[in-house]
Amino acid sequence: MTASDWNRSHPSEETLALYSGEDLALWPALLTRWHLRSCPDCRHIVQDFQSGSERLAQEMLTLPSALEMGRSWDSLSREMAANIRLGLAAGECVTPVAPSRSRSLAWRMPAAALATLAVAVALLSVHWMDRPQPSTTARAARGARTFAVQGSLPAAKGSPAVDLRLAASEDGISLQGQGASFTLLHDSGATKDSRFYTSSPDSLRVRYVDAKTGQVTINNVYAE
Amino acid sequence: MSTRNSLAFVACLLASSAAPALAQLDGQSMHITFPEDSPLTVLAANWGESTATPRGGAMVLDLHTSLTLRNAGQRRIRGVTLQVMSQEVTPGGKGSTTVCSLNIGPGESFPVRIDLRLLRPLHAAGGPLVEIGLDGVLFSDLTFYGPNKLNSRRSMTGWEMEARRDREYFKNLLQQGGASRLKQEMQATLARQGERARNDMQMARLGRATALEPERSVQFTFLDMPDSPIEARRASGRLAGDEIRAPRIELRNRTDRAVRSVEMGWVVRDRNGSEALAGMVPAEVKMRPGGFAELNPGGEGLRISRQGGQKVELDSVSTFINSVEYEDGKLWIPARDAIASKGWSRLIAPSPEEQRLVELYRTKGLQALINELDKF
Repeated sequence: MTASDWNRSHPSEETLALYSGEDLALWPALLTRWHLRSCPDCRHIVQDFQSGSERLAQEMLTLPSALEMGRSWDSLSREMAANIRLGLAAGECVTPVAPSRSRSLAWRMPAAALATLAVAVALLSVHWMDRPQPSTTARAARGARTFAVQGSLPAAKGSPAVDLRLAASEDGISLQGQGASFTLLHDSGATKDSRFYTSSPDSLRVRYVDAKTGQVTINNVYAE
Repeated sequence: MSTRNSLAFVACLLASSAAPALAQLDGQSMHITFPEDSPLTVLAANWGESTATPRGGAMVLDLHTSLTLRNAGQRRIRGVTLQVMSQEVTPGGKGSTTVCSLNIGPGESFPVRIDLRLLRPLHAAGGPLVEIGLDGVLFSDLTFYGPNKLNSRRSMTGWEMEARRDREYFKNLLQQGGASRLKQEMQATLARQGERARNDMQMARLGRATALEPERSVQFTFLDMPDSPIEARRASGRLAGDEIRAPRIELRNRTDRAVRSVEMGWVVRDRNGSEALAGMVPAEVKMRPGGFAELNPGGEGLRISRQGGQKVELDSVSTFINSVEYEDGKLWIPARDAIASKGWSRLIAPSPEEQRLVELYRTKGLQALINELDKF
């Protein structure tokens, strides 16, 4: 969050989205909470974000594949931040320009009020630390992984003695046979939706943009 | 610390003491060999957190390496394919890692990451587990260097031609419609990506037919691209459950140039009306100008499966020509407008370059995308 956010009469939608997901740092979260006490418009926006998150959590729990909790939270976090930026950009594309909301002097904190605010912050912090923790199901939904493609391949012509299988999973694409396997792992930072699989009778390919290098990476496994 | 937390701490200690031994692996586990006259040199190889963990009667080896390669030649590099072999683990099996849409000038370096997991018997012979070699390098003038054992020349040339086609398309959008038009296109592409990712299907060589459903003979629909150098005269097979049995496709070369190979896309529709790209089938064909060829993809046939391995009840099959390689090594790929006009953008994956540019827009914004387009 930048200083310009605090100069506005209302926190930005990005700030409210992060607040609703409990992803704001302590100080901006306290300021946002203070603002929400007296602003029904922003409270409504936060409630919308929270109800959307709960719906998403419920839907993810109904998806079929096994849950793998706690894996690659960093990549999920990067993804969420990128999607917030993207969502705001998409909103700019389709939303007509609206007149800006009125500025309130109350949101501009004069230096004289800092001491009073510090006391309020201390009280709010105690309340914040006592807040209920997210439920187990909500945490599970955050870490859920749902994608799996499976297929099998008998050995190609000319090598009948070896039974090889090609398979794709959340971790990578693999070649399996004779009690052993060889897996080319995906970049954990590449999202599920940004991976493209292409199969042929004797090979399996996955393509993604490597989050660290920004390069298009194409992995292939062959059963020839 | 509460009683419950104390118990959890003790449980964690016990669990960690019972965990299998984990050993660090070094560079001896991977062997890198490049030809002496290679235009690429290995500047550095970082082995990262490579580990070996016993699991039951087997060993799980996680091998992570980041190679720094340097362009030692005089031409700009557009793509590199590295062959990754582990014969000891899976006889006959191999893999490859390609990085494409590159723009690496002479003397410049770039990273290539390879992350592998091997599962092998506990007491296997020693020696390097993985051999990494160079299969090919594609330059900006579309010339190629390398043994090309994995047909990387054809693949990388196709991707580079698609990259040029798509960059041109996005530049035109920017010039004619401004930044807002480019942004709209990026949003639409992202929406298509999400839809397509949910429709992934996979094909496999059929081997032995197992479907119990009665089979029926069908004619496949041929999705003809307006300027395709190849046309299908007849395409047929028998469908039973998730199996395409004995597919036969007769092709005719419309041009006055000899053709070396084609790649055909297979689109399937299930009984619920859901349509998706099942796979791409490359085929070596020798077609004289105006000549004919008959293909039987997959030999006995193909089996189609869906995400998660759910069975597909096939209703109909369509095919199209995705690329054609002429005898002189040059390639034909479909025009972007032709794909869009047929409504196939929702079926065919975006090119690697479009994927890269969309990801750049998604993570860094519109201005970063415009700056990137200006580089070419």
